[in-house]
Amino acid sequence: MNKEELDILMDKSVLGTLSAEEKTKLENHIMEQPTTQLEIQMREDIIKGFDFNQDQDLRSILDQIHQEEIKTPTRTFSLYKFTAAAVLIGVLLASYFIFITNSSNPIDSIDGAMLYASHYEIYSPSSETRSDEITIDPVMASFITAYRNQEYDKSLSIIEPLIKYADNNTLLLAGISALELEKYTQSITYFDQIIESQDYYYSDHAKWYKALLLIKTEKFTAAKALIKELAEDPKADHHDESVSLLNKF
Amino acid sequence: MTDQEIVTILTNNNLKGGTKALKILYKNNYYMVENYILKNSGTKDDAKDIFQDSVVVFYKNLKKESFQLSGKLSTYMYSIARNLWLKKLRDNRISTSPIEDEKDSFSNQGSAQLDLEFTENQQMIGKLLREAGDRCKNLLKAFYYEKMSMRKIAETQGFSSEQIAKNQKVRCLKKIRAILNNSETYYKNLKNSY
Repeated sequence: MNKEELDILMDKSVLGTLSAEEKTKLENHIMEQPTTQLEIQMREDIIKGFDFNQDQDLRSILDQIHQEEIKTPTRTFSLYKFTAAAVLIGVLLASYFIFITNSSNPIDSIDGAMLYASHYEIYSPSSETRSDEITIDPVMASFITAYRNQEYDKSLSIIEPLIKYADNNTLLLAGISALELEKYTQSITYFDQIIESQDYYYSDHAKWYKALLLIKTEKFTAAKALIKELAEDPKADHHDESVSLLNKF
Repeated sequence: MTDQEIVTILTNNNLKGGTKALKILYKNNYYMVENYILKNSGTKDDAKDIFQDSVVVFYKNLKKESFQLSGKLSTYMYSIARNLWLKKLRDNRISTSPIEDEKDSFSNQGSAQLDLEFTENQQMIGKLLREAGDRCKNLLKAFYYEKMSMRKIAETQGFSSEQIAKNQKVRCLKKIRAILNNSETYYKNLKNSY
């Protein structure tokens, strides 16, 4: 076998395109020249080397995305974590109880966290703030800036002392901030205030985010009722998403 | 951006061209995986590692011709992450009984490609290829990694004929072999593997 023929057979071997006859020929050659196996291995390592480089490049991009897009926890939430763990245990125990008492309920099979994550999108105040509610108050400006920067602990701490003066837009942003921080009770309080005001614009958003919160905390029956309201009103904000979500219950 | 748009962009572009789609994929799915890991004995650091491993597996899978997304992307990502996490728990001998019974439509697909480790030699060659110069790197990548024919490589990489591209490939391999011949580690690892 000449060099060129051997080169072709080695390439075919690493690319997985050897015929049975070629395979036998190459194996016979390796018996006579065992170092051929090292050359084949080097070529296989070249393929894996490119694979390795692609993984490295991808991981570098993912690290950057993580740094830019994913919020990091702060120490001030340690008490919250404890509370959240207690709530989680409570939810799990409640779910278990419901499972035992009513194992045929289809809602039991829903993964709340997964459903929440696949439908939740951060509400953007930039495109949906009505002109008559735009404020130049420096405190409000810093609240909205913190919210836009996804610094929810900051946005919430700015607005909490002023919450009784808040309009529905502010309540919505405060509710979502609390939701992001997993302060669910506080979040529901703000969303309920909006819903009770019957403001046609903000109440749909409040219902949607409250429903997602309830899904996340696996209170599916209450979530379903809100989703149904939005799904039944073709003019409602989040109508299409609600129709789609309703099908999953 | 829909699931299918994300898949199409990532399939048809290189990593740079797919960054925006990767960002959306990351934002839409990270917290779901984090929540799962935290609920199942993991930490936020574990969640980050597992999620990024899942994206790597997903990216490898979608570059295969046979790849077809037959359900929601979030379900697919969740499935891969769950399989990776279960594997890690098993490797660390942590009990997995409370979560092993979960199944979904992607259970098998997600577990098909979980091998993310590279040998020392493969990593060494990877680094070497980065430093090999664009001409050799592009040619070898096209031939061995993208499985492109020599004729196509000659056309796309500006070689005046298929034979000249073949000759260049031989020179590139020779160059790599020469560098590796000076590396005791590479051949020591190689011989130990037989």
